[in-house]
Amino acid sequence: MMLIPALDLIGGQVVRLAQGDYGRQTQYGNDAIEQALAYEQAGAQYLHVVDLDSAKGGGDVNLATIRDLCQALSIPVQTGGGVRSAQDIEARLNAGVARVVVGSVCIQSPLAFVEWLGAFGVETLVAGLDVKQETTAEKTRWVPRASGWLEPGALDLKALLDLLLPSGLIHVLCTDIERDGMLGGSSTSLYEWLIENYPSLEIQASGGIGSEEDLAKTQATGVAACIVGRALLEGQVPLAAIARYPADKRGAR
Amino acid sequence: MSVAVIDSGGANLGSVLQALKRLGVEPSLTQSADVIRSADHVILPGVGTAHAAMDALTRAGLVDVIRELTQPVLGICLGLQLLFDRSEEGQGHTACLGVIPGDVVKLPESSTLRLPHMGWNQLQWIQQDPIAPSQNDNDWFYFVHSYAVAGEHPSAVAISQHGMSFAAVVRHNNFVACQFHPEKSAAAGEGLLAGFLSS
Repeated sequence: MMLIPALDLIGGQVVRLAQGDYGRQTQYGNDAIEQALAYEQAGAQYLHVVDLDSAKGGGDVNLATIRDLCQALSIPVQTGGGVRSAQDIEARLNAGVARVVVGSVCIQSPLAFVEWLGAFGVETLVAGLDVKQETTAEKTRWVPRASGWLEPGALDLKALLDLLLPSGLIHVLCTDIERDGMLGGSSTSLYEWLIENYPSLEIQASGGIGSEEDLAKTQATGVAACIVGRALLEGQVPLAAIARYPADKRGAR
Repeated sequence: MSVAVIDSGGANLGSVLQALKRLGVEPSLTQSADVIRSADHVILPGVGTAHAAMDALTRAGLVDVIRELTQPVLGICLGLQLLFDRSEEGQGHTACLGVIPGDVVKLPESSTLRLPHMGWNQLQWIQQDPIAPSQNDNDWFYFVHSYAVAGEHPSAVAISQHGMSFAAVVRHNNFVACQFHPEKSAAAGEGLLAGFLSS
């Protein structure tokens, strides 16, 4: 499992939201590039950057910062937030981004996402599914939410993945909204369910990592990667942990 | 030290230039035959398809210029593939620079082996080479490619695996090339770029 450090940007600054609530944000005052270089020097093999301004309203508010990050780093960058159109994907790829996370469109217009998978390639796009557990008397299900987590999608997680899988979907970044930014451990039951039902997907776990023990528990679920934001910024997970979680070996016969 | 980075038409050469700047050199991104011939070191990056890159090099009149270079030349990714005779990429195939005898083939693809091969992989070093004074099989390198040269090719200095053994680093006289992106391979990649610049 690869540990992917995350930087969330608002107005070019590194911030962290608690449970996606824009009213509960912590500004770290760190320079994004300095912080990213510290992660790279610690052994990071990928950086995850979220444009939080654009996640809510669309656009590419932090694109200049993302371009600077891609130029400054000698590791690939994945970015999400604000991707509403093929042009938005192109703008990010032209800025030097290796992989683009598509969130709201994937949830609200999955057929548009299917088209983009064909146009940009299945390795270039990540389905960014931020989910919230809903329990009724009959069953428990995970429901993705769009537009800065404000709107629930029409399809639940299973229906959505079943729709996307035949188009070659590989990369899924799945976040448990209730755990994100809370440092209380990741949603292991969610990831176990994903790995068991969708073994061909490369799952990126995200949300809730608050200790090295949480990382070990997340790795045990079988996910390909784990995104860590706040815990690295605040030190609950030390920078030295990054090098202990490199990419899984691929392509070996 | 002068370093010429050949402009083969693709976008996104910024990361190569930045990586060189981090190593303290001021590279020239150029299509000028004079600048390329007189540089101490030449880098042939590659973005896009073999056909488009060969088209750009042909239009710039650089095919023979590159073939005749005698200083250290580093090909990166598609730049490695362009050094060979032919690539399977494109309609039929694409004729390449022919610096190194041999062909570039498409990697195998299946439900578990996806193309492009994109991500981090380790190498197995099989020959000594000045580009990598310390050859560490535990180092990771970042790949994005669908085509490659077979690992059995005599020019292979390091190999990696994606459904087949393929050449990750090749050497032919003053030409060296890597299939991965050293400029996106963190400290290990920077080490190789430094190794090339000091060769």
